[in-house]
Amino acid sequence: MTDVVMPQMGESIVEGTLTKWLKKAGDRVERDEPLFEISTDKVDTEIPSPAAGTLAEILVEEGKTVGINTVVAKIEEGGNGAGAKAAAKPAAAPAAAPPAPAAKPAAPAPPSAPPPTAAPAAPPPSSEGADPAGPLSPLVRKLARENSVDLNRITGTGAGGRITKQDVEGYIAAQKSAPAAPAPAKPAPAAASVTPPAAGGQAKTRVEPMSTMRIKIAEHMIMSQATSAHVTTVHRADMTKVARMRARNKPSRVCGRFRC
Amino acid sequence: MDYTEAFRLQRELVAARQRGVIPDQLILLEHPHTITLGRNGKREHLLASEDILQRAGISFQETDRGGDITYHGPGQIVGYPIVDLREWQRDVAAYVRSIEQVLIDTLADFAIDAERVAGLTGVWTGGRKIAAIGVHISRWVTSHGFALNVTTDLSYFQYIVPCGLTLPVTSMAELGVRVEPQEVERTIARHFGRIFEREMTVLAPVEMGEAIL
Repeated sequence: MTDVVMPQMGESIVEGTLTKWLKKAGDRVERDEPLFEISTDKVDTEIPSPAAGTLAEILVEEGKTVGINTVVAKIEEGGNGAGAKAAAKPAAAPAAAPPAPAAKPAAPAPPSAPPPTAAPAAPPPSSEGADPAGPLSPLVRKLARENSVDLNRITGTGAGGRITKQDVEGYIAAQKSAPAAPAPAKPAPAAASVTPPAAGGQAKTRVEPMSTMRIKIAEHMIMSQATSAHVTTVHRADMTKVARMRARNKPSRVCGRFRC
Repeated sequence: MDYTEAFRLQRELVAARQRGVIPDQLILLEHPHTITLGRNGKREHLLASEDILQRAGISFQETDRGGDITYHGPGQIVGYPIVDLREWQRDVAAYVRSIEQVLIDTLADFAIDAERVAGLTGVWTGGRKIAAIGVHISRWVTSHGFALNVTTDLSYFQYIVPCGLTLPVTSMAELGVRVEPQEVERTIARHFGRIFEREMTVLAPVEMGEAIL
């Protein structure tokens, strides 16, 4: 699958209006064949296809204004019939949701983001070493690491099945009293410690690429920091009298003028 | 030159420019009475029926340039630059601003103080539009362009809402400048060459046709 993105038509241009699709979903397209038209400031531009294949999906409809680099469509390369179609199906499912956020310029190319996080989330139950789903507190991680405990073997009793300190301690105690399974593999804790905290926190954290505008803002901020002299000035003022006056006038109607 | 004929010429020049067999071109011409509707144009901005237009001797064309509806006719210089932006600047906004600058500098040579109005592409003088802009780009090669009113009969604008804006239009003649369109064309070409850093060579229409072949 090749992503078709809203191109940048100039340095100052951060978005464009998709005015017309020259192909329909399912149509065959050749590389460099005009695929859609965009409009920016009295200029209509034909955008050629980045690849040859079948136009699999249109994600941005005509008349919508989207930020540059937003994925507007997907092209299935080669287009060799049913086999490719079937493979495309699962990918289409997570991609089905993004169109709404994709319409906002703030979220360029979100469809490409979900799969990577979704993929590692699936295997953990079977493979040892990876963190169990759900957030883990640093305390639990530390405890598990120090005692070489595989957290996948512990059933959490905390909020939402979260593993608590008590759960880990209980598990360790149980292991000590019945050392039947000396299973905990050595590499497991090591792997767990390497995993960044974000991997477990799939609930609230969302990673998305910066928009061009944000990149430019960041660049300018760094530049101004590097090229301007930075000075800190400290002024000392005796506010005693002012404070006293404010306190004195608080209950009266004059108060409104002093914003107290 | 007839609009459809000019449109065909542009398409051929664009194709040749895309293949890299010709250098950048600037076509300057006048159209007979024509009303054209851009890709994003609204049909309701055409205030007369096609029937009425036909009786007034105006042809109506839907076209693929940017922008809304506009009028072309005798006394208006239409410019169609066929420029490969990859060899200039890959920036459509910079291109439009530069076209505006060519026209502003041209008008300045005739003592007309013209300016840009933020958000309203085109060239303005005293709150009136004197030149309109509408561009099409295919693989970074431009077509369509600008229309500058020199001695245009402005009454023809009554059939439309120019560019979808209910703002008045004007011409160089209305501002008291008596000048031959050919002289304005030469001035435009000079400023175009300077701003786009191109050496301008004058080609007769026939030579332009040969350039494609």
